[in-house]
Amino acid sequence: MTNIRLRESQERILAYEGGLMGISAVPGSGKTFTLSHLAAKLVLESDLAFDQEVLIVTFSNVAADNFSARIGKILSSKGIMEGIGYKVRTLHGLASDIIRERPDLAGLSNDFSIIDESESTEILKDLVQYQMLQEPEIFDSFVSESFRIKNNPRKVETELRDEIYHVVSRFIKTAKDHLLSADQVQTLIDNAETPSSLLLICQKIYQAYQAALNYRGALDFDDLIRLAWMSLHNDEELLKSLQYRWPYILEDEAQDSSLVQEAILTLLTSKEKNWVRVGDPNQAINESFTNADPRLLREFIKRADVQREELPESGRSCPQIISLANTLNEWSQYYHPNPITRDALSHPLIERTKPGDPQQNPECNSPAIDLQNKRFSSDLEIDFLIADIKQWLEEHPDDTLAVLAPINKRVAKLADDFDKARIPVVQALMRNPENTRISAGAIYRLLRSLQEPSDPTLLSSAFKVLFRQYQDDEKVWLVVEKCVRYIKMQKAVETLLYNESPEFLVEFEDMYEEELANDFMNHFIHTMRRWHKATVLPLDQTIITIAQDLSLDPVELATIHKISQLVKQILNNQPEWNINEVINELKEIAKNNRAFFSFNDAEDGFDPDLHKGKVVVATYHKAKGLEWDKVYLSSLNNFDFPSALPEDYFISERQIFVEPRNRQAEIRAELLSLIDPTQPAYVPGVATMIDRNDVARERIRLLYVGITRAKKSLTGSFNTGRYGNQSEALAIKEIRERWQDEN
Amino acid sequence: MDAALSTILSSDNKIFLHGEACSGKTGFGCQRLKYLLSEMKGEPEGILVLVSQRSLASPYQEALKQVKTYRKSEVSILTMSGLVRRMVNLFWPLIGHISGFYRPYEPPSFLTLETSQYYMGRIVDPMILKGYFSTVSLTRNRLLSQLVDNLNKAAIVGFPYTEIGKRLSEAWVGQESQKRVYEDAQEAVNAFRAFCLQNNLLDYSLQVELFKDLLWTNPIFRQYLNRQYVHLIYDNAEEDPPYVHDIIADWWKDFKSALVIQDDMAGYHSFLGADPQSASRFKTLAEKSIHLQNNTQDAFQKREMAATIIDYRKPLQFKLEDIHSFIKQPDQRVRFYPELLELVARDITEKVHGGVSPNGIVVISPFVSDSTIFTLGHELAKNNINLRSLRPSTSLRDEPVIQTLILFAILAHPEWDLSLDTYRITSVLAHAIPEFDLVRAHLITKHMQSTQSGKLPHLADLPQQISDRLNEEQKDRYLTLTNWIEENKGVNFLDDFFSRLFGELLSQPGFGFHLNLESGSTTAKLITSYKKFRASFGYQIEIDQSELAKEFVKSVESGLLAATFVDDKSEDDVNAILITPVMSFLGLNQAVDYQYWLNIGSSGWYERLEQPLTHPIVLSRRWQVGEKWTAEHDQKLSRENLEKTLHGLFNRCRKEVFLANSDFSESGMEEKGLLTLHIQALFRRALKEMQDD
Repeated sequence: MTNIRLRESQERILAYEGGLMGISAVPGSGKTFTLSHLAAKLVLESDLAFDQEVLIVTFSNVAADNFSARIGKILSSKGIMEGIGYKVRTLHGLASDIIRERPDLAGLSNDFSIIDESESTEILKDLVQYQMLQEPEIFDSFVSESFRIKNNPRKVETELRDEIYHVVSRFIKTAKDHLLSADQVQTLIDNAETPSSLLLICQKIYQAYQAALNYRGALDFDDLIRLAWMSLHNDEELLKSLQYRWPYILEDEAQDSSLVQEAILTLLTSKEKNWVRVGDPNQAINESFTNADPRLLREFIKRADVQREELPESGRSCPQIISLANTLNEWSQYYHPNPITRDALSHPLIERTKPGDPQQNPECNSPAIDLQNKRFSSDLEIDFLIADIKQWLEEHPDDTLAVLAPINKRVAKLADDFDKARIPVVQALMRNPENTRISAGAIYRLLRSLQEPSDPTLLSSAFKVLFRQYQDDEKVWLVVEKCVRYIKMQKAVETLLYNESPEFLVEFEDMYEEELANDFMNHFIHTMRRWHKATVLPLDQTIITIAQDLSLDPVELATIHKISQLVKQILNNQPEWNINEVINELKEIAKNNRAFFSFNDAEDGFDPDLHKGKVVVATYHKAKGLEWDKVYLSSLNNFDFPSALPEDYFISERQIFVEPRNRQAEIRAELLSLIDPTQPAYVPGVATMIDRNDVARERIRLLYVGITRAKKSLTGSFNTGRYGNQSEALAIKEIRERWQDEN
Repeated sequence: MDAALSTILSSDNKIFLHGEACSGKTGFGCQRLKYLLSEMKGEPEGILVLVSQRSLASPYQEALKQVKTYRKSEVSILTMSGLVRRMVNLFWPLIGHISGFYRPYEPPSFLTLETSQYYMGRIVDPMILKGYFSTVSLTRNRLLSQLVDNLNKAAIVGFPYTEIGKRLSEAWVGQESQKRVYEDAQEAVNAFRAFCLQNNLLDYSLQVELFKDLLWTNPIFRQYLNRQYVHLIYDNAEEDPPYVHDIIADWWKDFKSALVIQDDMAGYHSFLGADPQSASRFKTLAEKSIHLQNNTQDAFQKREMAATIIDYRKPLQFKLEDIHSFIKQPDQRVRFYPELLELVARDITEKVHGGVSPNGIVVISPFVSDSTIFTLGHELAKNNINLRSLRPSTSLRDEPVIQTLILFAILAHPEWDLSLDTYRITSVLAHAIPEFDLVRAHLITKHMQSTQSGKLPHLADLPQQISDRLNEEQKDRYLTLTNWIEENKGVNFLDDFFSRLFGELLSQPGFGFHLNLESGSTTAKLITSYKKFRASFGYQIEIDQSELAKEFVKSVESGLLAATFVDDKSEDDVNAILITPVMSFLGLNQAVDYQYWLNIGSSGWYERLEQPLTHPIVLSRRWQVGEKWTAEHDQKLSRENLEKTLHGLFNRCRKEVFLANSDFSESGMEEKGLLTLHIQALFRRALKEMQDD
């Protein structure tokens, strides 16, 4: 471990040999680097027995993958096998591992499945809809008159369903985070004096939701955590064996830890007490849609038995940007007009790296900071961005650049408009990988075409699958679509596939299209002929043969291998089955009706450096963990970045509801008051007010995250919103003025 | 050969020769065979070369080829089960009437493993319908094979078959209610045994019992044997079950000379009853015991490395670079299994292109799946490198020619009323007539489906819009094919049917298997399987020939028959990379330069197979009846197995082991089994020592 150059702060951390340690890190301070080296050091130098591991817990699959890669690289550079001696898990992955040790303890069978968020959403929305039909009057009573007057009944109904879904979702999350089953919540409600009608509705849906999960033999993500904790809590032997297996636990992104995550890790570390927690409380931006609580890390770090460390140096940004981020930090701590929110950010301030550091801060580009105070309309803000970006790209063709916006809808609009203005856009961070992944669905379509090879429609569908990688290229896809239409029109497909020199009678706009179509058709014909021959193989091998000809990334290929294994298993177990049954099974998997293993890393890591000279558009949230040379922060107004002041607007207060309008905060508060009788009784409206402060805090941190994404230059702008009545976010106004004064 | 060994080679002593793999033991056995033959001048003295598996006979057969003159009757190279079967057949008149058979004066029918399972199926199917075996989740074929295995274990270990259920039940520590399945298993094997006795059927267990209980105790028989065999060479004794050792030990004093060879740290077939502990008794019976060992520094280091991997407290005798010079890893991180196969193929290609002979390379894994063979084969083929697989059993039913033969048999026997899958008929039709393509074949099968006739339509009956889409040549071939099927309708002797279908039609010019020699030999295998199946019925069991043929076809389709034939493809192409399950490789007794280990995180390297109806240890001789089988037993067994496997593999590797590791294994899981944990511990210790230095 001696051949890397370390900062003093990193050296102190890497000297760790055991005990509790809490680390506050600033953005760009090399958290992953330090923790990966610490994990590798423990694997290499501590006295781990052969069946013990260093456990690293992190927040997302991407981060887990990043850690695995880094630790593996360090170990393999030392000649040690990758992947052994350590385990990197997200909290959900860890919980799943714990439950799988003894599923019977959690009342599960060996083959329990875990439903993903989209399936859980679907179930919940169906249940909300059902409940709305059962008790229309109660649901009606939630809707404000003003909203009803302004909107048609259909819009009222859909929006109500969607909003209630969010409320129920928050209710269930809160219950599960406090380890309460639906039955336990029912007991609390039975003992409550006057539960609200919304609480009763939520509870009914919670019960129905759990019944739906039980029926499927499935768990959702929150159950995983709850049941993992219960397994550890109830089975001493299991706890002991896992405490032995993981004598060291390193926790990354600890600012996003929830109460139950902390409880699980506390149990696991209660024997050896070797627990290192790293996080940046200033980057806690997941509070509003998870039960993350950055206070937990702050309190941990303050404990007397915890060795307190900081990673304050960052080589990411140029000095002016660091100074702006620190200005925001100090302003929010000491000058925010709403004193309640002054704890949004905390020290340490970001320090520049010292001379001789391997990561020197870059020089700023001009302008280093440009915070626009013009009151743009929504469209004009985009016009401003387009003009500015065009100029920037011309001057800095090799730089990386990102435009951040608060919500997905705005990101999509920006991408669309940039595209129209012929600015090269990358939407990779917006992509839903599931949609583009080859899956049982694609294999299903190809097998159908082999099952009925004389059917032109099925054949055309196979064509589409073969060239599906061109979906995003509008021009090429147009050619694909034309070929598809042409195949569909064929009366005798054998003349297309098996004539010696087939002719394509399709009209094309230009030579390029025609040549492309010819290439595609020739390739398709040869591939189909090969696939036709492959039908003589056992079905599982036919599938793998097909896979060899598709353009696949490793995850897709691995998934298809799994599908072929499944098919082999089906045919071994049911020799009497024919292709019809197998195809139907694949169809069920494709429709997600049948649980099927999928590889954990649904998301790919994103590397901004691969998109130089293009514009990456993303939400502020998705940008966390990434960095660009130039960053544009958009929509910096008092709607998206409120300060909990009277003139602000609050996204979480929904116009559809009668007061109090922040129903998610209200339901959480009402449930918490039942869970903890020592808390003050629930008073409607208070939670809405408190949540304004929570939102304001989180938004300051979101702004901080946005600023610290920039390496060499930062531009900020705001728009006045749909009704033209929004103004510049207070925090931005303040720091712009302060920064201008200082510089 | 050193002087001491040379002296022993030419002595008449009874010798016990043991040592690690590839230390020259079998070579010594071959020399001994040649020496005995060279010394045989006057009265011929028979030599019995006993091997544990047929495949291990080849070094001795090769040795015989080098002997210029000898009489064939002088040497018998046999497995014990071969000898048993031969003797029971020969001496049936001597024992048939005292062994409980209903018709002892009629010849018996010998059952193969496949046909035993077939008859077991006839016993078990009605039981399943009555709710027997309801608490185990097993495919029918596995259930049958485990029941048959139980009977065989009782015979080769030497306890009454009526105690199978009791032994298994007493060792069970799980839920009490689960014990019922052992009673069910006992009832099934009892009924099976009664059925065999009624119908003069000799499964393997009965053959062994008759041999050791009735023949071996018969003085006439013993005299016969002693006259036949004067010298014994017995190789790989550790891979045989204890009854073989009992017989040889009893026979011992009658041999003029004997050489028993044992591989230390082996016994890889323990799940089939192999018992190295029982074999080691020859050490005390022998007049001389010799230990052979590779004394090179390299061999010593490999031995030490294997031992240190297993015992992570053992002091290190070597450095990190020593480990790296023998154990290689991918030079980049590999996340998924298919990627890993690509990487392995690339590495192999580099080696082969660099001059390494393909037969010096083996790819091993606890289990070798079809998709692994297929994908790796595909990747290697891109670089003109062939891959051959050796698996203990592969199913014939997946071979295109078998699919074609079986499908046409069904089409020619509509009276069987067996269902037909249109997809398969389409593909077989397109394959059998190369002039056809899948689209045109589908036009015909679609029409066939619409008429629900269950037979291929006659050319003249095809609707105009279909026949217009066929050219004259296609029509001509189709007509030939349908005519052939029509003419051979109802032929019940399937050997004749298959043989003519292949000879008169499929192998003819214009048909799919023309000049395809391999499909000819595959057809022959199907015919052999059918003949054995038919022979097992003898004339004792009343069965209509058509019914018998139908039963055969159904059993092939279900994977029960023609599923366990020993793949001898490894003989076919020695200039190809071998891929094989680890146990098969160890059983081959051959060393290679390079070994690629796949799925290294799998527990299959050391864990016994989960078999709910049988248990190789509980039904072994060393098991204390009444003891409980606990997790501790499992752990101990796993450790022992891992030790044997590691030593065996290291001894069989001359240059390099490649640990082909991916984050997600073939099963899609992050597997970190004992093998990976132990090896990593070794790396870590070596690195630490290096840093401490």
